[in-house]
Amino acid sequence: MELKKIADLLSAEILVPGDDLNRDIETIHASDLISQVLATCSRGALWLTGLLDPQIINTAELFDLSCVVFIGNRRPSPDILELATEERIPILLTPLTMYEACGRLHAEGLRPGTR
Amino acid sequence: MFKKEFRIEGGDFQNAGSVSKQIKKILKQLNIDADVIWRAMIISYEAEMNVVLYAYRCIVTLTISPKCIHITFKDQGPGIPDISLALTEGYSTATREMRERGFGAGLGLPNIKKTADEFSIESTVGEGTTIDVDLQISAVI
Repeated sequence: MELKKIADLLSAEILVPGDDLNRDIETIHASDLISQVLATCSRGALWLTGLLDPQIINTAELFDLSCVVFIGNRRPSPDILELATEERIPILLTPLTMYEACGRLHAEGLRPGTR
Repeated sequence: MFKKEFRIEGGDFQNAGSVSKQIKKILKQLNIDADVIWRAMIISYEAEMNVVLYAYRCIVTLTISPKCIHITFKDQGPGIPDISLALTEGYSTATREMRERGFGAGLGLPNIKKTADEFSIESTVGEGTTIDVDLQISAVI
């Protein structure tokens, strides 16, 4: 599913567009543990999280994740957005809970981003 | 052969990840296979965050030969009293602050070990820990 369609599906605000909103996303990883992402997330996955820390962006860049979606209207700070812009990592902000966001994505056929 | 050293300071969250980013850039410039780079990043970032979270400082040595990436992480820090326990998934000595940042799930050292082609670890309590890893490559350098 195209990233911009995912934004619509999640009623999400696009905070950082990255290079290509038409980019196709196939897998989803949902976690508030950076440690878990490092251990189990697959390349190219879209990462759903409620964790607000600049290391989120470093993790996404180093592991070629396609996008970070902050859930529950947990708006990231300006320094996180600045880093994401610099690293060209798309950032979305959804009002949905983790459960609701995962449910909508799963219903549309997005697969688990787990290795 | 390519060789470069980096430094990581314990507690330096501001720059945490910067050494791994530098290593990634070097590997991309050397046309290393993308999957190998990804595995190198798992190893590098896990080790780098371990230093930032637990150690005082670390010297990272990156050595690249035609068939192998070798990385050594030699830190000064409290050391690890029980290495086999530290290599057990889920075992963690993380503080609440570390967990609030999303770390400390006890997966770091096991993740480094299973991602590397070769892995060794030595530690002395009160002095520090040294981790050596090898990743096999078929790069054009």
